[in-house]
Amino acid sequence: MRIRKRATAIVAALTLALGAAACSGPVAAGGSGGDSGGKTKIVYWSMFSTGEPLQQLMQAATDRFMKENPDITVEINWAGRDVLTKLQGALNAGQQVDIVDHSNDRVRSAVVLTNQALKLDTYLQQPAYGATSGKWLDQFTPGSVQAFAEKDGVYEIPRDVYVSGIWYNTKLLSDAGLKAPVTGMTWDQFTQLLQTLKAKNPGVSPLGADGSLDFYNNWWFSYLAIRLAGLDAFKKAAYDKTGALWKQPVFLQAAQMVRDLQDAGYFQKGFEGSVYPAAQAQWVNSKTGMMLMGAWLPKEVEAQAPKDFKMDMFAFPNVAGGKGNDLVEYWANVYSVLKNSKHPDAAVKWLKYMSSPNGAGGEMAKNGFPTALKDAPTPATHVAQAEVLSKYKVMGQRGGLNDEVPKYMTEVFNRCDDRFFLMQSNPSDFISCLSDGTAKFWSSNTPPATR
Amino acid sequence: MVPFLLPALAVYTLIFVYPAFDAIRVSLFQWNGFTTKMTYIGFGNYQHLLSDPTFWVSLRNTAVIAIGGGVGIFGLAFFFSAILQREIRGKKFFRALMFFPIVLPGVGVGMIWQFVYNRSWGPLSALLNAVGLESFDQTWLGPKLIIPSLTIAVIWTYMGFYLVILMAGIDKIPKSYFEAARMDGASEWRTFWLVTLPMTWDVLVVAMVLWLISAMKIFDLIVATTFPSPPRSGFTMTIFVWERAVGAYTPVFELGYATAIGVVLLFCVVLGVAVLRLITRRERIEY
Repeated sequence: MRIRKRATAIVAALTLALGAAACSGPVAAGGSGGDSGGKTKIVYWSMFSTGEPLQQLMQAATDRFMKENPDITVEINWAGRDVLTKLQGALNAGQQVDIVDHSNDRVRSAVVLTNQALKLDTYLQQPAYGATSGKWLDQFTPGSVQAFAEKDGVYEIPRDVYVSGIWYNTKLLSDAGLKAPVTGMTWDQFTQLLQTLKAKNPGVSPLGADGSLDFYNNWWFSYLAIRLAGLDAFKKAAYDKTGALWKQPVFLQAAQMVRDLQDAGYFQKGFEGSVYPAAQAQWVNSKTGMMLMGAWLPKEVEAQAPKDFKMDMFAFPNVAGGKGNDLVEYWANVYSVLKNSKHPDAAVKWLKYMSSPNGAGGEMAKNGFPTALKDAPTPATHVAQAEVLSKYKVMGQRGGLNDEVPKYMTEVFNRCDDRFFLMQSNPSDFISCLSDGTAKFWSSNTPPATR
Repeated sequence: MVPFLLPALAVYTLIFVYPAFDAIRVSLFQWNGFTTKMTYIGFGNYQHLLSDPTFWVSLRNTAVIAIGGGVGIFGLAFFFSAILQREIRGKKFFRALMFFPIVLPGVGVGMIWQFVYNRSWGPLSALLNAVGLESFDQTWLGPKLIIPSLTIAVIWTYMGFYLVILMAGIDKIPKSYFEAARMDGASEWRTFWLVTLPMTWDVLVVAMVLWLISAMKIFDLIVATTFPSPPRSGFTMTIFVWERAVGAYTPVFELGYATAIGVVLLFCVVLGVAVLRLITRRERIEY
């Protein structure tokens, strides 16, 4: 009996101990203060996975940084594209994470709007890496940092920056005797170009699209709506509590223009069920002529494109009498320093190095990634992007709605647009869906404070 | 007895019971998962769920896969079990062949089906076009056909697993029962209906319960077939949870809402199993 009681006590104690261990407070990665052996340790959680070109480039640059700064150790978690999902758990567990990166809209939703990001304005006014005077901010192209700033300051540092536009197979177009100006193409010229391309290459679809991605599908309508109505009217419609503003004829016109492209058979057969990146594969194999896509496309298709494949880009066409013809979508993959970082100075020092010509910044451009750095060379694949940026005003993704009201985009805009773009509803049903959905959405949601 | 059960009970409580109940608590909050700040909204997430069209699409798709896939899986499993019951050459090979898909990782199977259903270079469309059946060639992963297409992929993947379970049940039936039926002049169908089915009923019910739970939780195969972002028309409950919790491409981080969907999914699984048990209840046959 005594032995049994003792066994019970031991088992109970062990269970309690295990439970206590499991429920005990946050465990910091590599030590409570994040330091080891007298060195300052900073932890960077990256959107890249081991083996990716940028991962290798950044690892090499970080190694050089640690050599130059032996008092700082940078620990990198190559977490991959779902880095922010992993960050949810890490932050709640109190794990040390000093820097995180991803696309500006994702970082904003995950870190900036949740009040977890460090304001970087003061650092931007200080000298750049290795400099004793001047401002870090001046290393960037004018306006590129501000494009991702909040009303009260800067929380995101842009790394690689992109616009969206129409990417085309240069050989297909030139073989058809067609030329595409980088900026200023009109909608009529564009449809004429599609028509000619189709007539001269019956086996080639002028346009390619992967219908499986709702956030790609919504490009066509949102760009046309902004071109026609202007950015303000587009955003006003999205924020309209009654939803009635979507019923303005101009939005129906935009939807009809998308449907006209589809009815004319310009998109590849079966685009509705095309799973990314099937359309890109068709494009580099000259089965389609053009794609509306972000300027990350050259890097995405690099591995699968034939060696002689040449591509270029032009800005989304302008429309006659349009109020938003001078706009282009612009976004970036950005870094953010977390507010609870115990070593913000060291974290920013690393950021400065990574965005300096000697750090990863200069090398990125040489390796084909367009950066926000003023003195970095423009990659050959992104000359058109540079021209577009010099002539157009920048706006956020889908007029900025993607990072201002992602919930609205998911629940209303993309839901309605997907049915429309994938030929499940006609233009007027689509507009009704937007109007009704918007009214319903704002009846139970509060508009956020915009930038 | 109690001391020896205690560790297992504690671990089970810690890693299953507690999170399950805590999920119900979390579902009552508005929470993005990045901070400890949670805003209590009562049943707000559940109210929102009822008026969310994507929820109903996801629920319908999940039900179609569970029921349609179940009919396909068990129909084919019985069909092949009847064939494999006979003394045929290569019986073990065919059984292993049919079991094989379940051994493959879901991601790999998904990639295979993504290739099969590709309309531009996939073998299915190529075959239909090659044999002059162009009119049957469809956009297999388009909004109209994505769920039937995925259901076929699901049937192909899981059928072998349930076939093996059913065959294990059939093998337990004394051979003399089949011989007696044959001597009495019973047809194959009548033998199946009056001997095989009643004698394997308990096994069948367990297999159907297992299938229902798997079907409601199905995730990897569908995500992989439509990777990196399943189209909305192909959303199931689990994909809906994922999209809302971690923001697939549009950065929505609604962990509270996603947890509410998860709780509803749990409720659906429990309800589904209870209903299945109720409608399949019958007297036990002993032999």
